[in-house]
Amino acid sequence: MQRKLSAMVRQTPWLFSLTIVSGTTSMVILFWQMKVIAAFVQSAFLGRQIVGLRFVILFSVIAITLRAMLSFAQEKSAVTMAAGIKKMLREDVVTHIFSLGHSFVQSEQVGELLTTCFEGVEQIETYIARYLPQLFLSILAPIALLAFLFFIDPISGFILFITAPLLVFFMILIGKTTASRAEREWKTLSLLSAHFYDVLQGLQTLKVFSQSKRQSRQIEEVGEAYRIATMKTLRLAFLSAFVLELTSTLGTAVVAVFLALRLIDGHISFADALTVLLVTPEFYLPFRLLGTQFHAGQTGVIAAKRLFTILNRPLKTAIDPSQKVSPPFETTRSTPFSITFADVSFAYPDQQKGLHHLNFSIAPGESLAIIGPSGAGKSTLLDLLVGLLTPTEGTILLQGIPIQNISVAWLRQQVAYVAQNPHVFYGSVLDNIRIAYPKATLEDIVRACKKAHIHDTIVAMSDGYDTILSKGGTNLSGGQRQRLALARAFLHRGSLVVLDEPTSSLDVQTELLLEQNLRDLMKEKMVIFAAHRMGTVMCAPLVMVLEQGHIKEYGAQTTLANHFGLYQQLLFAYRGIST
Amino acid sequence: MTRFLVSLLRPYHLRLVLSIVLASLTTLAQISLFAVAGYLISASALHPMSVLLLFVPIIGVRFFGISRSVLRYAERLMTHDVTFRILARQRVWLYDRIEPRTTRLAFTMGHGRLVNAVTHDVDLLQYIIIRVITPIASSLVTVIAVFFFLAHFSQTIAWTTITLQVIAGVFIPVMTHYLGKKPTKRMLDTRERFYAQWEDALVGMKEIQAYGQESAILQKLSQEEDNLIQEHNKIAQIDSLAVAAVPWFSQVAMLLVTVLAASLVVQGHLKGVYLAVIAFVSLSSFEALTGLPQAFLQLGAIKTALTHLQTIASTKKDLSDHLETTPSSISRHTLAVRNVTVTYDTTLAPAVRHVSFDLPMGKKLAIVGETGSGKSTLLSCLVRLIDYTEGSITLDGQFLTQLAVDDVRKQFSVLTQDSHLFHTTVEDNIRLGNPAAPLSEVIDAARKARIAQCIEQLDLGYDSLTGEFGAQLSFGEQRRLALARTLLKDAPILVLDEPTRGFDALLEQQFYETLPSITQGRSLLLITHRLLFMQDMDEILVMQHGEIVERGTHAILLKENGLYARMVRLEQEQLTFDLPKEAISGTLSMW
Repeated sequence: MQRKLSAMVRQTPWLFSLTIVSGTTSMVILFWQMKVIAAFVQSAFLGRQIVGLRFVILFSVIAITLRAMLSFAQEKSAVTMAAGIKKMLREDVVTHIFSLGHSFVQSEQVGELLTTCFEGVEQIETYIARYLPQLFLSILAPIALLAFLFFIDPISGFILFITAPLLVFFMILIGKTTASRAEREWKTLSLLSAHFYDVLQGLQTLKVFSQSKRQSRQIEEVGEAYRIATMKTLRLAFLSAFVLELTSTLGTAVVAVFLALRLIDGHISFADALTVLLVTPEFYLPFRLLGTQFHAGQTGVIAAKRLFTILNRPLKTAIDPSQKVSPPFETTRSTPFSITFADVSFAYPDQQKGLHHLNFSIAPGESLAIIGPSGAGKSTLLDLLVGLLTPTEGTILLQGIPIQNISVAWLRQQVAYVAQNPHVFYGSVLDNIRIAYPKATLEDIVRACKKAHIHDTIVAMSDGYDTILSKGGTNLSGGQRQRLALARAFLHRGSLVVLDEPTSSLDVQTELLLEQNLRDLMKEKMVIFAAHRMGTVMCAPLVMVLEQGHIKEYGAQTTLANHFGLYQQLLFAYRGIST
Repeated sequence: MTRFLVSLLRPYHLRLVLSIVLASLTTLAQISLFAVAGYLISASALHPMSVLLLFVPIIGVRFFGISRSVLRYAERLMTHDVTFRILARQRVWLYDRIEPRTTRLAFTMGHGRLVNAVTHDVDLLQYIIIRVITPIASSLVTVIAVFFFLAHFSQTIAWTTITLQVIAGVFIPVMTHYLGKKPTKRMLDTRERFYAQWEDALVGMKEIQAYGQESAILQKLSQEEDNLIQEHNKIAQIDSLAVAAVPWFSQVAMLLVTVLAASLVVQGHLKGVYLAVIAFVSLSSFEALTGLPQAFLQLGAIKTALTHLQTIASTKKDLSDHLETTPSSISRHTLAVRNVTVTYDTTLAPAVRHVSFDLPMGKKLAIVGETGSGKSTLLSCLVRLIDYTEGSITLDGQFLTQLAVDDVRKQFSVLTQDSHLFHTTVEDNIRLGNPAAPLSEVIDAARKARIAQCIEQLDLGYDSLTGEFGAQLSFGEQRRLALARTLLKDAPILVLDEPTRGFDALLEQQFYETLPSITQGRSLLLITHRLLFMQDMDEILVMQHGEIVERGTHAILLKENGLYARMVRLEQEQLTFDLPKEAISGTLSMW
């Protein structure tokens, strides 16, 4: 873990070394600055005369200013380094999550993932930009100072030399015991925010069941439990800081007492004694700073662990969106292709659901409706077709070519997809539809929207097509969201359209209008869709009945309607006839 | 805004004062340690006759050395304890503000900003004591104490020190604050946007991948992060200057004070032993100021966070506070809606217009109409999620607005369209309908909602977790789980908003077949656009653009040959599409 984080530092070696070099140089300058002042004080105190006033002032001001500049440089380089690392980490993680696909996001809590990518990355930043340089500085800067101290007063140097490892020892000892506690605390914290997020999401539901008032107390209880747990950790964590400070203040006291004893005997000059006393707090400063950042460092390591569990998840198929778009067979944009499922199975990890040995093929240009009870595997089948999932067994063939041999980018150009709960992105209506075909002109988009029967709704909005849709499309109704997503499918230039429950949120009248457009679409393109609504299902010439991951019935609409079976039963049920 | 802060801090004022006292004493102990150490070596340099004369200063350095560490430890524990107490209080405060405004806030702010306000702003405000209040108050105490100590020796030295302290401690932080104001606001705005885009990328991943938009989104994220870094760097620039400036002033102060004190010593106005003492006090007193620039810089961000919270708190409530609460005496459960109009936003047309109907105990009423016709808004009024603008709704003759909200909600078992599944077990999700229900009733409700079989197939059965947004279940399963929850609540009036949305035809039929047994002894308000099971309804209201355009029984409405009949016919025509004649001949006689 630490090695991985250190590897990140190595990518910005210049900035990292600047931080350390400036910190060490600053320490050396300080020593000479204090030496000059101490000599001046000695002559005034013991000699009752002012000696070299102009030199003292000039030297001191230059030294002080130089140190301020170094401190500025150090601070700036730390921030710059941090920004670069944060960006790199976030980019890595988002690229990885994208490659893992939506099934990964679905299995996680979005709130928790966001906390990891946001607060988590900031904490790693603190670790790399603050904690690590401080760690190096707390070794190098005191050593530099000690070298000079031994030169003027070996005994004080020796006292400081002994206390330094003590500091480090206590820090490691106490840091180790708090590490596991800090890990727990981090978990509680993200659970806490996930809990709060969940409660806010479901507030209306809680209200309807008269449970919303009770939540207020629960949030308080959860917060109080968190406080008690955290305070326990902190009592220990602060103990390390306490020992550090105690060692350093007592170290200072011991140095002072020893200096005093030798001054009485005249074994050391007052100027040297004063110099030592003036630089002593600076000797301990790097350790103290490291101590205050130790806890932050720990949290950073834990956040990094969580982040790396995401980054270490193996990718099933590396999807490279920048891949070259090479058509696998002779085709133009609108030439349809045949689709064949050859013994295709798909199993979700630790779930019984899935698809079992599907065998069917669709001729170019044909359209298919998939129907079946909830949980039969309809969405899974469509996800396989779009390439969002990969079969665990068997092959999907497009025009006879296995889908895995076909470039993903090409496939994406061919297939338009409307999800069951379409996502509306933060941005304008135009941008939201345009994702299906970024090169589309406004006229194209308006035409698509008219076909999806959403044009009138858009025009009625405050800024028409430029209206900014709130995130998640909260200012749209479920039906409007679905029609917006349908507009994407109408805009798309590929030859295949895949729709997952395209009309589930629409009322009958809108559904009927849309069905007309669906039929028109089927004349131009292949449309493969899942539906609960018989009205929509009946638009397609081909029908597949799916149950518990198996194909129960498959064939032409008219054939199945006349055949005694599940489809006929569904038809009768829809019309209110009990069989 | 300040009132909010005061109300937040008031319960903890003793702990707060104690924190400030501890923080001040910590700094003073540090200053004393070096003052005494300076005195110790100076006195020793004069070669006293006996080491015993140095007894007091030797004890002194040890005492201040230990007390500084102890005080610091106590101060840190105290400030953190208050911080966490406030954090819990703040979350509750915010929840209590959001709870009565849910509908309106979702409408005006959107959920993302709401959640961001809750996570980021609250996190920021929790540090107000550690980062702002304690550093400012304790440095004030220290500076004054040091001034009086130095003034005892020389007015000039005391004034020189305090002047430089004011520059380093007040002037620089204020400058920093002033310069950092705009970048901080811009940074927070950018951060908010960036956060929203991240959420978008994660939640909308399916669409992004299906349309091959990965690189476009990645580029957008990268660009936004660059913007964020740019804003962040501007703040860091100011920040780094402040960090470098305070030590600069402290060293210059020490230099000036030393030179001044040295001249006093040479002139004989000051004892030589105090020279080092004064230099040390002046130098170490600046330690108290090191936290100030950060404290002032935080102020900008804290102000923005407070404004966000203020916006939430000042948003109009979903329900106006009712004047008097009649003790509930609802026994007949008769609902009467008279001429109700709902205007959600004054700039928009009313969502519901002049709607009237009666729902006496046991009646089965259906409201049908297309999307956006106002059906769900009406439902929100009935269960007191929002207010109606005009007209009246009464329960047993008592105005809804004068009854306690929970007494009203007790009358209804509701399935809303956006019923939320919580990240908890299946059992707890159902039990929300009636927290006191035994497991047997939970299972019974699941059976009635046709989800029991599916739950039993899950690995952990009723103990299985439903993921965020109930993601481990299909949409139809989620809806049925929500339905089970509604059915578990044994209220006299059952309100179902599109109960079979996401069901397949077979499930839908089965559901409607069991509906009579579910509604036994209850009133039913069914909101739907499926017109197939309307024969059993006592009355059907047809809504269009927020108004009731037709009303009556299924048979009467068909006879009237209006909008309802047209909707039925359209649905029917659809059925006959492409079907052989003999398969439908029997069906037509049903209508």
